[in-house]
Amino acid sequence: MSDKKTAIPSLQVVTSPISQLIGASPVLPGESEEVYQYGLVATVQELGAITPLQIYLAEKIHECLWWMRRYENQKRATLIRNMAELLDPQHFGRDVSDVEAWAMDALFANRLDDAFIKVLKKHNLTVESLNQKALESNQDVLESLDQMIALKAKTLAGFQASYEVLVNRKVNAERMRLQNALMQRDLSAIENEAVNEQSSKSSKATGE
Amino acid sequence: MSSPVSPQRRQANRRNALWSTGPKSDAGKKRSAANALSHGLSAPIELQSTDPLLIAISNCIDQEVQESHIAREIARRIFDYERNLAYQREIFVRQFNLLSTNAGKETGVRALFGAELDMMDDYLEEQRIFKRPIAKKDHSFVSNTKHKMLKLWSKVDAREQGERAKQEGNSVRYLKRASNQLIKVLKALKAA
Repeated sequence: MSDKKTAIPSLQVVTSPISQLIGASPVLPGESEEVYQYGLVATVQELGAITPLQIYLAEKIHECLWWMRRYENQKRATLIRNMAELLDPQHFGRDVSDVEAWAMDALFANRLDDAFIKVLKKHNLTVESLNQKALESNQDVLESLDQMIALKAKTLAGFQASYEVLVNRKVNAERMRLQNALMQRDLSAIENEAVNEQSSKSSKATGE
Repeated sequence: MSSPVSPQRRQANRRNALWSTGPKSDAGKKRSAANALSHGLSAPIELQSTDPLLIAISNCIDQEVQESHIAREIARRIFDYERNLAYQREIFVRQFNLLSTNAGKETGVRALFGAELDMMDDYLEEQRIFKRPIAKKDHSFVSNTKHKMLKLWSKVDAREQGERAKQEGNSVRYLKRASNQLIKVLKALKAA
């Protein structure tokens, strides 16, 4: 029997020299370093970043996307936690009760089976009303998370524009050099005209 | 389009501003320089041109930027942005830890009044061991004291939460500023 090996894409870690110098890890506890690196490699390849500053900016672009995903996950987790709390109103305190843990498991896995519906009915709730109640009680938190996402989106746009500037810099420099040359030529042409006019006038004057 | 502020108004503002230019004495200047130094995120970075980190980052981008003073400025902005971003990560992890730990009322009260609670518990335990009856006034004293402790803890907790929220709000502002400054200095390369 021949062993068929599936092709696993090798993870080539990309880190800009600038990030190596700063040495901060962008991944928080509980997040996958591998998933982050795959995303980063894809971003760097897609943008075609080569120089240290370009790779650094590509990293920052990817990090902004990562933060946005992180905030989205936190929004979901906040909602689910509150929904679970609503299903166990007898329990007080910040620790997680058994019912809450079970409800959180079911909601994270999106497993709305008969047992879950039964618990919902016990509290005179539906999935929609439970969701609405959780949204209502966590409005402040969700709003602040949305603001953070908006800030990251703005920063992302800024980094993308900076990246474009950096990549197109050589083209711009060449364009400006050509424009300068053109202006110089025009100026010299004007100067020549003026000089010619003056010289013709002076020659006429001397001729008279 | 006319300017929203008239030249007369602007001049008057400038004149009035001379009356309120902050502290004048050395001691006053020193004191106000230490305002809001709880996190230091808004403080200007004291990176000297001989700082090894600044030099290393500058060297990394020097060839690309072609002007050493611009490279140094970018390095400074990168450092500032990274410092603010690291603080954001710290806040995020702290929030996560606060949610996952069982920091209930009882734990909070015990953290504040551990010794007093132990004394009261010891007294009650002693009375129980020696089978002495606990007076009604002692019972009410213990319950009243615990109630007062809880109220005090709630105040401290609310204050701490307020401080934390304020600090987090400020840190977002500083991050926004740092990222804007970095983007601005990078975009300025276009004209360079």
